[in-house]
Amino acid sequence: MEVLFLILPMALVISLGFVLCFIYAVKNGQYDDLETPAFRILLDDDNHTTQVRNNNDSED
Amino acid sequence: MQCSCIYFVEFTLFYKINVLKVLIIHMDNSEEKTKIELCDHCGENLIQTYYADYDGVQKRFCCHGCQSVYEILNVSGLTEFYELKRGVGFTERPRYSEQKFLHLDDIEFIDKYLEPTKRNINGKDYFYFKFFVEGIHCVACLWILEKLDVFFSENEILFSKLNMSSSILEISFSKEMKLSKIAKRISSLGYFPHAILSDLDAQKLLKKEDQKMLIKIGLAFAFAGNIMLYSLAVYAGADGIFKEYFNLFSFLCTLPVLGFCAIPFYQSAWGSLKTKVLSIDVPIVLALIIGMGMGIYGLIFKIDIFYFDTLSTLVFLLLLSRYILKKAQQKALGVEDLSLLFSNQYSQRKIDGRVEEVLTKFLKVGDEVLVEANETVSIDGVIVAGKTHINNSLLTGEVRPDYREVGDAVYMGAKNLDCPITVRVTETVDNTRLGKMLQEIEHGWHEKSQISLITDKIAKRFVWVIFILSTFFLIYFTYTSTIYVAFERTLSLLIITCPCALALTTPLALILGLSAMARNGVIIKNENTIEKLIKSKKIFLDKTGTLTKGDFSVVKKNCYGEAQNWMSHIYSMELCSKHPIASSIVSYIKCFHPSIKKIEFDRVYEVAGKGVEGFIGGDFFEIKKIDEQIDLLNQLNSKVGFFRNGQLAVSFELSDILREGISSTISEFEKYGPTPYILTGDNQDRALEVAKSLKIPRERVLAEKSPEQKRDIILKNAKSIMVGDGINDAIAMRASFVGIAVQGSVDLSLRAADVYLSKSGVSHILSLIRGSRFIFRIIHRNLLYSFLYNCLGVYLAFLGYVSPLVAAVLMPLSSITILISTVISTNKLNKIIKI
Repeated sequence: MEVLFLILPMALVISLGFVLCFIYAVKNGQYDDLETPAFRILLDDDNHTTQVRNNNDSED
Repeated sequence: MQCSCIYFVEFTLFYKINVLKVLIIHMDNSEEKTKIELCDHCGENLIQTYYADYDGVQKRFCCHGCQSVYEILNVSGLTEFYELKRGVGFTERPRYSEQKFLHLDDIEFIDKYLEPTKRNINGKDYFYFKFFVEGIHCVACLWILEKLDVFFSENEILFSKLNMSSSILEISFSKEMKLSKIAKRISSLGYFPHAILSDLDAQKLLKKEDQKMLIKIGLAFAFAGNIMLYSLAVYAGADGIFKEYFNLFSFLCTLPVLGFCAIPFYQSAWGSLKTKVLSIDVPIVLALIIGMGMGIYGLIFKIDIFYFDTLSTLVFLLLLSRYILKKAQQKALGVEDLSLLFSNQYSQRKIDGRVEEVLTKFLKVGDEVLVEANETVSIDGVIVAGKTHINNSLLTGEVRPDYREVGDAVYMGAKNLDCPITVRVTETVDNTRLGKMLQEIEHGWHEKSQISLITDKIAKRFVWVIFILSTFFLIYFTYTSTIYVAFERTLSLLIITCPCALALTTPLALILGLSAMARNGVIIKNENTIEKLIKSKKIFLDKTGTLTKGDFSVVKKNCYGEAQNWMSHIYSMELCSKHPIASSIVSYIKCFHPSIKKIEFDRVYEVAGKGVEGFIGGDFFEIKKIDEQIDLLNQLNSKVGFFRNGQLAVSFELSDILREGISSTISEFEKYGPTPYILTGDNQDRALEVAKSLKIPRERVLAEKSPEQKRDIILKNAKSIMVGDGINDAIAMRASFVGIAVQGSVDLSLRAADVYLSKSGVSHILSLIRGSRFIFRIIHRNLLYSFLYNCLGVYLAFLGYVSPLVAAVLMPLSSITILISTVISTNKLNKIIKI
């Protein structure tokens, strides 16, 4: 069980790493707007779909 | 036999399916039939149809606004907008705005409000600016507003980013680009941009504070989680050196939690001790100190008392609940912040014969300002050119137009009715009469919100009770048992009785109530308002614009002589005039003859102060008041006639009519309180007539009162609600216990009033009061629950059944149950508010 003396500080260091990641994310503004990105992900990046739809319409 | 049976069944099935198919086809058809009647942009029913061809497909629109939006989207290849919008099911016509936003290009404006970005991209310099965009609904709005760059040439717009929850559009554009062009484009898409003219530093500070709190919660969570693991090992039976090792690590992890994350509690406890007002943070801090002291003591002397897990969990849960509360509060109060940001008034300044748009704030004494017909005067000044009628109702509450000519003074807030005038500025915006009124209102605002809430009072007493109980525990158990037991039980008591349910759910219930109301068009500025609404005894209602619609509507039409339909003549003539009576006649005719067409006159012109005259062929037509002697708008009912060659052909009777649903509202007030009064600046006769139709007794009508007199009356009557519109009621609304604004712009109203009804109609006041009563029932129930819970907790802690750790888990559990019950019951609120 003596391995605990080594593992515990290591676990603490790892968790500190995650805490630092979290602090970085907060300061980076990733938590400022929690609503819009959820919608933004639904949108396509380019106008590709529009063009396709327009073509379909004209064929009809 | 069997076979035939099966055939029969199959046949009937087949038959039924066919019938169903026919039915479905029929339904489809009927659906299509109704579709024909809908606008292709907003999806509303078509009353007047505008047709246009796009790529050989005919499209139908309900108004020019919708058509131009469609055109813009079609030209830019952005018709995917309609795909995204489908299924969201909102209907709103775009505001068809002619505004050019040229004041955004003023050099002074650019200097003051545009923020140059630090980076230089593509060899161009960029500006950063924020708009509050009105009319954000769904993902389609997001899509189109973030595609703004498509409308301009490349690299003109670096990015446009929309925050849907706050409706704020951040935009970065090149220095060669004009901001007015962007604003115009946004408005042409059917949204309305308000430039946000606020301190950028203040906004950043607010954001930083939010982030700090979030970091504290994250840290507390990480360390509390680790401590839980170590403690688990100890509880599971770790022994000897391991136990000490684990405890040491718990202690190390607790240090940042108590030393950094818990800072807000220390600050608030210290603040409350300084002002000698006990807050609920004092017992929390006491528990933290006792727990930490005992923990360290146990660590040093190797005694079996450790509360690090308890303390860090407590801090984490408290921080979390406060953060949630703050977020909810911010959402509810966002409206108020925004309203203060709107100061987008602009004026047309005349310089060397040119006219340019500038922000009204930037006008100086001596500048000359052009005020077009139908515009509002934005400063105090003297007329130097032109003569006109103005409507001073915003300041005085009277609808009657006043005649003004060169040399006369005009004040900010007056509406110019018929002819353009040039005004020389004598007072800058802040020094105008209206500006001073607004300042007075803002100044007094701070004092007003200092009314202590019932829950605050209870919390204070509660804290005292906890203190007395804990001293009792400490003394009692020191005598009857060991000092460790005494400290342990006291700690359990402090934690389990932590009045979080009290401190948390009351604001939560209030805030959920506020946002439920806001969704129904009732914007409440401050959560204290709800409590005050219930306590109110009297309700004072302004007449013009509150009980009545505030403008003239046609109530009766009479035709004389030969039975010819003159409606299109009258319609075309009145279209030339901007007088309020003319526009109400126009809307009356349009209502009954939706397909009416304008006919061409040989000559039509408006005679200022008299009416409209016109010629067709040899016939002379005029629209004017019937009795020349009577001042038209001074009458209760005004009569206007349409004359053909001097012969009366049609007459209209106009009157300021009551708002819908007002009489039922008043009768409910009479039944359940508060007692309704009429308080108006208008004359006695008109006020009495309105009172009569609303069955309000004579003695409760207070007419011919100036804004200052209104305030005095309100001050004399403690605990009264003032319902009004416009600035003339603003002082009274501020002086009142609760001020409710029913009309006018949100920004102006919310400075003075506590409540703003965005949907016109006084009936919403009723739902407001009903809703407030319901919210308070929830709060009272919560108080009862938490009282019972705490009594039980104290009893168990006394008997020693709860250890501090169990208490630290039970406390948030109880809070959560009350929280959930609050959320569920506020959901019912929606039903109560809707009428």
